[in-house]
Amino acid sequence: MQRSRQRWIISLLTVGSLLLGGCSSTSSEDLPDLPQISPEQFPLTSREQIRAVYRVAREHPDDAQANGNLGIWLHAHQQYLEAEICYERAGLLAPDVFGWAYYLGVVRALRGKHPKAVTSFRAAHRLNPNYPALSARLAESLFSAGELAESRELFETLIRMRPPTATAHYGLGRALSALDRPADAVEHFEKACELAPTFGAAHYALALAYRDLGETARAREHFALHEKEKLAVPSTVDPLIEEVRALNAGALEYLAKGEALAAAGKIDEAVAHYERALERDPQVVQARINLLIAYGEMGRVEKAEQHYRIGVKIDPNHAELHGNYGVLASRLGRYSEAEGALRQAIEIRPNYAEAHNNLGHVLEQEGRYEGAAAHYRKSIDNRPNYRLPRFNLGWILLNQGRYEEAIGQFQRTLTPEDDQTPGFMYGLAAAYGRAGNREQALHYAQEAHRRAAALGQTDLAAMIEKDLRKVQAGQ
Amino acid sequence: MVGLNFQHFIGSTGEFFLPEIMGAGGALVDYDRDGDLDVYLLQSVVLDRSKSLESARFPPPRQHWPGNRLFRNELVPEGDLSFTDVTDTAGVGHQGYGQGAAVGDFDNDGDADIYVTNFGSNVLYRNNSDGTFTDITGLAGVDDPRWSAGAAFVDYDRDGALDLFVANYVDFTIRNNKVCYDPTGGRDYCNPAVYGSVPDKLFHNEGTGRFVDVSAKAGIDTAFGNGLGVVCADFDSDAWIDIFVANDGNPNQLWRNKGDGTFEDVALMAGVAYNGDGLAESSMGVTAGDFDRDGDEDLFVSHLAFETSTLYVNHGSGLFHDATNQTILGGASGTYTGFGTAFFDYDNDGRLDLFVANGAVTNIASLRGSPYPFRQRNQLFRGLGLGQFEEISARAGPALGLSEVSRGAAFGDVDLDGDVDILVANNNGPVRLLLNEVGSSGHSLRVRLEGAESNREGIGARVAVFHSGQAPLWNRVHRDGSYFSASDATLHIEISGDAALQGIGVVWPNGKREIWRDIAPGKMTLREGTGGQWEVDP
Repeated sequence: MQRSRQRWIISLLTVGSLLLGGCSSTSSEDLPDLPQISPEQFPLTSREQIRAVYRVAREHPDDAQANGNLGIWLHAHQQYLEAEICYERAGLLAPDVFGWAYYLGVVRALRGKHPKAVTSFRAAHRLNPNYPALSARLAESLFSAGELAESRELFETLIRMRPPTATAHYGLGRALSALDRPADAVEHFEKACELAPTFGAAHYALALAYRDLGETARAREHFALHEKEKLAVPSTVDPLIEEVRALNAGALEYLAKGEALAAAGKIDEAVAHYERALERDPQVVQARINLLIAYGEMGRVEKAEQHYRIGVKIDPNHAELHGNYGVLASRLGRYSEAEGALRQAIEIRPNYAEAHNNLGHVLEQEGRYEGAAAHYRKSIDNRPNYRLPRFNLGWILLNQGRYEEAIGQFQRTLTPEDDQTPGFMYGLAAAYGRAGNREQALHYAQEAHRRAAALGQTDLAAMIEKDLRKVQAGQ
Repeated sequence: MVGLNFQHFIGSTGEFFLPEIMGAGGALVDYDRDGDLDVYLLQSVVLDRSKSLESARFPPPRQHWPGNRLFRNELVPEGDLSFTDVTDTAGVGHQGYGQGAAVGDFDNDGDADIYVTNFGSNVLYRNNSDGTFTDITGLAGVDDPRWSAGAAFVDYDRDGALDLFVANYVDFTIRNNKVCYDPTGGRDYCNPAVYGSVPDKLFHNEGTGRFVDVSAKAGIDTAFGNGLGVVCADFDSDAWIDIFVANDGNPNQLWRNKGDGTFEDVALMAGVAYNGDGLAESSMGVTAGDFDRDGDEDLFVSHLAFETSTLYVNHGSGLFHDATNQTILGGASGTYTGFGTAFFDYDNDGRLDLFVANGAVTNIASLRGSPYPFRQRNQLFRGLGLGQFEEISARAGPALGLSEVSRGAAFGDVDLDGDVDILVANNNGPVRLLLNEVGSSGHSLRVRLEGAESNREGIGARVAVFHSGQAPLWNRVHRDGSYFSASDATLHIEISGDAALQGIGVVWPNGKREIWRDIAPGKMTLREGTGGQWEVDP
């Protein structure tokens, strides 16, 4: 409790220091009513702080800072309607404070009230035109409000006056695109992608622009880049919003950040975030699953098992918890234990495609091929575009001499085309080879080799090459 | 209300099971062929079978009847709009966890059959043409035990028999229910992303009363997401009907009909998989229509609050762009979570308007403390022409002022006064029938099709209305779209104005074209094979 209170004081002082300068010009009677808040309905980690700022706001209804602080806490907890009212009150009481106008614009934009957001951002602009994220937000709100010409002009100004940013070029591209100038838009989307190569939205916009210009191949190229980095956006400097975010760094936020880090391959950092999530809330089973997976991959089996055991105590019916433990046990060669965990997962979630595939794999390791094939089929039924069970089933069928069926399964692994395609294609080549179709076997093996080499998959390429030599020597 | 006594029951026992917040829908269907629209509504049960009705968090009202309900409209021949519950006689009171209804005359016998989607096994009711139905699910082979959502009858192979597309949602089970919280830490419904997607189904109608699952053969199983709304239309103007699936939180699918019994997902290249920012949204309801009157099918998809709904404008060849921000529809939908929706001409001015049924799926902060904090009001947008809309919800009467948890919406002229009314199916609340008081202009046409080679109702046909000196106004004969609901297939066409009506052309689902030139206001049925040759537009 003491720790929480101390944090509240620090937060308010920090936020306050960015917002000082207000003077009251309106009485509380002219203001919209202060929203009714029930602090006990907020997370334990924030409840006392919210209770305190709410009390201050009620005791000092004419105090802009008190109203605005409450708005910030509500904003941090995504209570945008209530936050908007608080910011509006703060702004009316202290119309010369940049922060209240800015925050008001931000929550209005979040609520889809773009014309009003434009008004707020313009008010903020009059007070502090140099705030880093302001002009971009104003330009975006103008775009969302359908004020395309003004949006375009502002983005152009941003590009002219500052070191060019990817977001400004992207915004200008969107405005030009909406103004039916696709060729001009392409130029700016390209610049956005050049400045921020992982900017997913810019790749998507560029792909659509190329599509409209009839350049389908280039469109596909950028659609693929978008697929890889769908959610990636360039970072922006926005200290006021960082203040808001810092007030609600709960378990789920740490979990989400951890998952983003894991997706970027930063496993150590991801683990640190999952652990911090559990410090905030030890009951978050997903954090335990993620740690089970991560520690398993890091070879820290005891830690992984520990999180499984605690997770089961919290929620014994969590299919994914059992399913992932089954994978860990399988990797360790503990097939009986793996089978038990995977069967438990499937009992809880009968259509769980991944668990069926993994159980199939376990059974296959134990030589129980019929059972394995049955689970691969169930996996495919529940997720027909899941290639792994098709690949696994293909090999079982192949070993049973059921070539046509095996070829059918391998063929279904060839789409979509990605970095796994060479391996799957190699399986298809093997199937054709065993079926006696030498021509198709060579065709797919050569194609698999070409693709593996192009993707830098040297081990696979070498293996295919060895096989190809054998086949060609037998000619 | 005129005997339409129905209260949707979600069967919640406090565990925040996801299906509770998603349903349900309804259908407007003239099941007894007496000329007026009857009402079919989906009902739910207590989801956790280990618990009793008494443990329900929101107990059903005293007059609660379990199971889906069919209400017969007594307007014809009684003369007054009133409804009688005929569920038991009709035999359509399935007691499951009802989600949606698709309507179509799959056996081409002249009456409407009903397909019911459930969280659990689905049901196909064949209309016996005598006021009763028979459950032929097993015989027809159209069950899917997974969580099915939107469904649509569509003759994708132009063989004259309606096939069936079923969108499936997520792999939720009672035992695998996850515990989720809102941003303030309160217990809340989960984002569907915590459960895996399940594949959709396409059933081919063999014409013998049996269907065959052709999902794999047709390529439908190569991509899927958390499917909800479904709409079928010829988006690329190649005379083959395509299928759009609104996926909640995943990229949408646009299945381009290749004309050989197979489909290809072209949503990405078409620009409808994501919004303009390249983000997958919580797509729920969907409608297709030529709102900008350029002769192609545009799309409107309803989404979660803070995402905004999305308006995709068709360039004519099946390529779209996100034009949401060029209309008021983005800003106006900002705080609303949209479900049932349709382009329709509510005021008979010849321009397409738009209705959106709203209701949240996670706690609304300002309603915290109320027992069911998901209520929102619905919205009506009036088409202004040139692709623009204005919101007129506030002046459209008290029915639009109601704040409820709306889901399904079905459209049709229930009181036969010449305008389109709206059936709104509310989650955990009473059904609403929004009677449109605009009335007939006296210059409108109510057009039904009757297929001969094509399916009996002409579902999937495109109808062009030719006025002198104007581009043709295109309509699509359909019952699908919206959310979990089925609408009437009658076209309401306004022919008033300065320009003379020169004819109505029909492009039947099999691609054949016919035109009728002597048209007078009123009600008419266009029978396939009775029109004139349509080689040159009037």
